[in-house]
Amino acid sequence: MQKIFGIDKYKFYISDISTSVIYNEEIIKNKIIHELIKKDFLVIDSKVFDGNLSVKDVLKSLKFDMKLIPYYNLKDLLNERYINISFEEQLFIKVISLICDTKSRIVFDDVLTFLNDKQKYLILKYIKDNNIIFYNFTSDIEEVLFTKYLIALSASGVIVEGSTKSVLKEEKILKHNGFSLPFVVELSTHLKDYGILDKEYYSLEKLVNELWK
Amino acid sequence: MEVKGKIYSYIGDNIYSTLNLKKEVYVLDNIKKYSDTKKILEALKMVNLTEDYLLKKSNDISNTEYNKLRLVNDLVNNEKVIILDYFDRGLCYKEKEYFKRLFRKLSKNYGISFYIKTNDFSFCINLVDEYLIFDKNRIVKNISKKDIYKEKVYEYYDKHQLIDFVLKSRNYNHLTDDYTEINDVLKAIYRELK
Repeated sequence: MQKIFGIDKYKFYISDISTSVIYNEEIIKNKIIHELIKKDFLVIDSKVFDGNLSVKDVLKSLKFDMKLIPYYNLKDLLNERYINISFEEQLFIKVISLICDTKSRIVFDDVLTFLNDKQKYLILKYIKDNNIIFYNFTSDIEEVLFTKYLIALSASGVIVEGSTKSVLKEEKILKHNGFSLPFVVELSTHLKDYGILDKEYYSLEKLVNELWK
Repeated sequence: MEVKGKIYSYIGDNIYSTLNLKKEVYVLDNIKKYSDTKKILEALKMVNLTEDYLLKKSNDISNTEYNKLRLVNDLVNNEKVIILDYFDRGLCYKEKEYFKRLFRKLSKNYGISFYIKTNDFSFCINLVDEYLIFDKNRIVKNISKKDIYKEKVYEYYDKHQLIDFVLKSRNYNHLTDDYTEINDVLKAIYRELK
């Protein structure tokens, strides 16, 4: 892993690998995001656009690749006014346009959490298929399972980081700092402690199959 | 006489929706104009903010802090109906659990009703009394908390890993009760397997 950005004060470094960043104080997250913007990372936040354009015109103005309309199931939305569609749809339009037309590394500033599961799936699949590296700052612990690397931030800086699986094993440290665990990890960890399972699980389907086979 | 408010979650587009999280300048200004300083400080403490926030400018406030200040504004103005749009976003787990306890307390002890918009069903479960499903500004369905499985409320939301787990387990004829707490699920699994 090659380090590409860091803030020594917080012992915060990111490398050329997609990473989830969870935080328990918004202020430190905002400070880091501010530094990333200065370093030309593409930061995508949850603000949507004003204006009276149609969805089609918004997509065109953001240089969205119109060939992707079927992939994202946008056909029915194209002629709607952007301001009249739901907030989730407005944000979805913004995110898919920005990730489409960039060569920068992408930073999601607690934005995926507003989208529904299907929208998230389409975005993450596109990112994976196009080998895009992203850094997901999120308040939703379930999203950490999207990436193989995880950093946990507190007000003073990084408290623990590493492969997602290794960080999620640090249950005491995470909970002491106000974090929870993804549901499937929490459940399987307890079942392992009870002697019912022999390891933690990171997929709900695999856990169910193993438990009730 | 105890006056109990209710906690609702609403889903779908409706008159309570805000289009985005644009910060409105008036929130801080409104709080500062309020004369009962003691009440302002109590309300700020309740939402885990310090009195320094009264000195901040609107563009120095994060989205989460803004949501909390909107709540302070409603509390100092004795609002009996409080609307919370994606209030849970940006909150860490500890704070989410804190605010869930706070909303229950304010609802039960002060008769305040909360209308919560979120796509996170895990925030609603064990908090909300009733679910309101809107379509084109009209309530088309209202579902009691005891019917979340029967009426499949979770299908209108995301993030219901616990419910997904229970439903998948039922395909194997396990966990047939309507579980909403992870500890109850753990006890049930233990009973079934040991």
